[in-house]
Amino acid sequence: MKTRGILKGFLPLLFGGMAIVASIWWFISAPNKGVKELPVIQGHREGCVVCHLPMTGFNSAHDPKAIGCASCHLGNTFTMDKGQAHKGMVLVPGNLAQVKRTCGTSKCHPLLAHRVRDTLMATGRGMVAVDRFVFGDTDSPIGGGNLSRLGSSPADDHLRKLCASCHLGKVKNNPRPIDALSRGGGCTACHLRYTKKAVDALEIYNHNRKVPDVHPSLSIEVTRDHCFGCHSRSGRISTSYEGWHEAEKYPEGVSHNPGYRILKDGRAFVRMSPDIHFQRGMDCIDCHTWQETMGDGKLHYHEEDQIEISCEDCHPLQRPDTITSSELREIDAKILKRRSVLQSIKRFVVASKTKGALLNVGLDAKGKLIVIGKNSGKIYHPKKPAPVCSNQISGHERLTCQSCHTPWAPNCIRCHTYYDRDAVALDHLSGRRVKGRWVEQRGGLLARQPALGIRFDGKKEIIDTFVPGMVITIDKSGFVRKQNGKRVRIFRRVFAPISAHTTAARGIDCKACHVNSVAMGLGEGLFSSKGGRLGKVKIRFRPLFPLRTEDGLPEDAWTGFLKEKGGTVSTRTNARPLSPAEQIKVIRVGVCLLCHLPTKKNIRRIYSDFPAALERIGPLCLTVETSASGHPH
Amino acid sequence: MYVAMGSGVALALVYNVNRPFESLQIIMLSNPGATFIRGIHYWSSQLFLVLTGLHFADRLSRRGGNRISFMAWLQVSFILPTVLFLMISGFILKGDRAGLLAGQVLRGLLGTLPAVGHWLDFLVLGGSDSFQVIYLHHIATASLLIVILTIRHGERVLPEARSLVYILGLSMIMSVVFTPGLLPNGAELHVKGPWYFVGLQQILHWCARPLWIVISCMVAFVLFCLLPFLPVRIESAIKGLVVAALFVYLVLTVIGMFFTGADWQFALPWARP
Repeated sequence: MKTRGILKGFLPLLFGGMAIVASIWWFISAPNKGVKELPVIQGHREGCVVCHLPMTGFNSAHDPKAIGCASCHLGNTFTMDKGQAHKGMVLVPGNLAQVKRTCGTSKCHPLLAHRVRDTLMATGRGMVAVDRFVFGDTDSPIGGGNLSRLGSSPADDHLRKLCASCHLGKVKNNPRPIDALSRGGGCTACHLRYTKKAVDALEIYNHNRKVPDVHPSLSIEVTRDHCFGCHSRSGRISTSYEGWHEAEKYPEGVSHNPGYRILKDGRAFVRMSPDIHFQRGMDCIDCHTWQETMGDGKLHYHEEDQIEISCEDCHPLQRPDTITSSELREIDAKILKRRSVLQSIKRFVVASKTKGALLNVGLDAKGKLIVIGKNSGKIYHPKKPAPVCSNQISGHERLTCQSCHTPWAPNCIRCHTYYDRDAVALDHLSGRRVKGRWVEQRGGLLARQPALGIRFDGKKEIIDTFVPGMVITIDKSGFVRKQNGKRVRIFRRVFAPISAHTTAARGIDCKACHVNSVAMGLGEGLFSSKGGRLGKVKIRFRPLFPLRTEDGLPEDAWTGFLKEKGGTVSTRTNARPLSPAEQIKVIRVGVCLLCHLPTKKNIRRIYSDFPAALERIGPLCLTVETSASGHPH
Repeated sequence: MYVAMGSGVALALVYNVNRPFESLQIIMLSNPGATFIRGIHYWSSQLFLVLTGLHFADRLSRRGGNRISFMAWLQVSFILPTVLFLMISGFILKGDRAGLLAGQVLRGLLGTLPAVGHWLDFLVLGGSDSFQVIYLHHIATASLLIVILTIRHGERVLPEARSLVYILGLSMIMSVVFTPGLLPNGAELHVKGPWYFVGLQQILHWCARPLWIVISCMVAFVLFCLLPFLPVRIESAIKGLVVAALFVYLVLTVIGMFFTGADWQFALPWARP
């Protein structure tokens, strides 16, 4: 009883004493002790800047003196306690999963942050749909899909392990300078720029955790390097643009050979002719607009649907449509204000496809058409199209510019993919290494002229450039159960439209299409003729590559010579190879070109109205026997 | 109660009702003393609410009980609503986004009452661009009321010294360990009210007619006022109903606190951004 009484009197004293000690300790170590200056940022006080200023490296729009730290990085601004202040912070604010609360708040960039999440670059929608289609999961290469939300079907597993790193929706966890290995990060994937000082500061931080005082800048000056990481893969437009073609095998001893380039991911590239725009010093964003990359608010299924620019916008046949700065949309006017180098444009060309203003293409004070490098400020005077481009020659109205101005494109004609259930692979979605790996055995990486095919662009059929999207066998046996004890194999020969980004100033000559089996989609080979009655010849085609047992076509072909190709032919529902009738039309001209070179005189006399010329052919002329059939060997 | 009131008086010295959010920001970022006092005020208030609630639950769970006069019971009945009003008005007086939204919700609920709604709104909350009226009620009207009601109910003016030491000590320790913060503007997509109103928030999310909620609360209050004067069977049934309702409210609170994310969708705590 006595002890209980003592405890009863002693416990409150003990508890009170503890509380006083804790309070004294707190007062001694109070994190907000001695804070004198509390700048007002965005209408409130922000504790972050007390510790983190001065911080340099920003442009004025993102200066922490104006927007603080928490506008982007979140956290708790109303405490000086480090742990509390950093709670809920995001290291990479541009990640699309966070963007509603960071870049995309109503005070900052609500429109773009909202739109960008539905773009092809953010979702990889087209890639997902095509992959599922090729794997036989769906009946069409058009459909929804998001690389950030994949299931566990063979196609989705394939995407998870091979493709899902390349999209803006991929979460970036570790801040680092942009290079060829950079992936994801949402807004920061394109808009973050590390200066030398920022790189040094990051390195110091990584070594000894010293808080950096230099921040990478957030800028609209998106460089080619920002695009290179993802776009050097798949269609390889970034590498093609700079004049590099991927070597099939890693060549030994070429690391110092200027004819080769070794990328950070270990792939070797061989020197080819670069794109003329690259040679002139143009960046990706000098052609591509914010609306193409960050979205126009519509759901597009494939890249060519999302693109708003066309060659004719800078190289018009006639005087282009223009608008003044007062007619620009609000967002265009804002961007223009930030790009001081574009001030010499007085009227802005509007894209022929979407009627959106091209902010760096327009008329100068003298009314001359100019293009200005958005980053470089360099002024270009785009060439007018050659007379031959003006549809002088009937039958060429449907040709896109790139049909003639694409000297080469990467072609991958032999790919075998199988599933190794015992190997380990990185799941790009979860970031974990998991069992089961898709192994790609590729072959036949060719740099050659693309095939021409037909594509319906929504209004009319056009002739465009295509490459083997996938000539592939997929062995799913390791992934799914064998059917009746047999391996589950799929063979696909689907070509994809490509804008190869290897534009040459000078177009290819007539023979490059009319006497070229590759351009006709037949693959490499030789045409030969066999005499017929009354000057008529039968054309034969001997392919260079062996025939595939699955469909009887040469390995590198899209279609057969004078054969109708049915079934699945393309990664698009609106595309097909040349039909037999169209092949005959092409070859018919090709036969004439053998003797009658495409001089100005001959163009006028023969090719400008070819059907009429056929009516008056001489006895020595050869004509194509339309009933000729191919005999591939 | 006394700890909360004492710390409230101290806090009023540095609190600016014309710029509530800014004055609290300055306190939190540069005034350790006021931060500490605010912590004590916050935690002692929370303890007051919890202990009052537990006391009520304890009394309700007992069978029968002493018969008391209607006026005495009426006074008792007003204690819990007054405490809740003090709590929510204090929450609103932070002036941060959560506080502003809580004010809007309260204003909306009062506004649903036909005829008297707007008058009540004006009398209790004042104009939408000023905190003057609600501040007045927080520091004067409601505080005085709770002091009177508590003294009459407890039949003593001064608190027991030992209880005072425990409550003050616990509030001090809680204040230094869990310093109450402010919600940064725009940082959270999904703003939740104070824990004791999260259940109500959850019900409001499901209920298309908030008026029914207001009426239900009023009916419950009237029934509570009449509780000791009802036949024993009905009294027991109502008590059981109240305990069950409190349990359901507790479950809703837990769901609202820990299992809802953006757009009020179900989300596991670790899956929320």
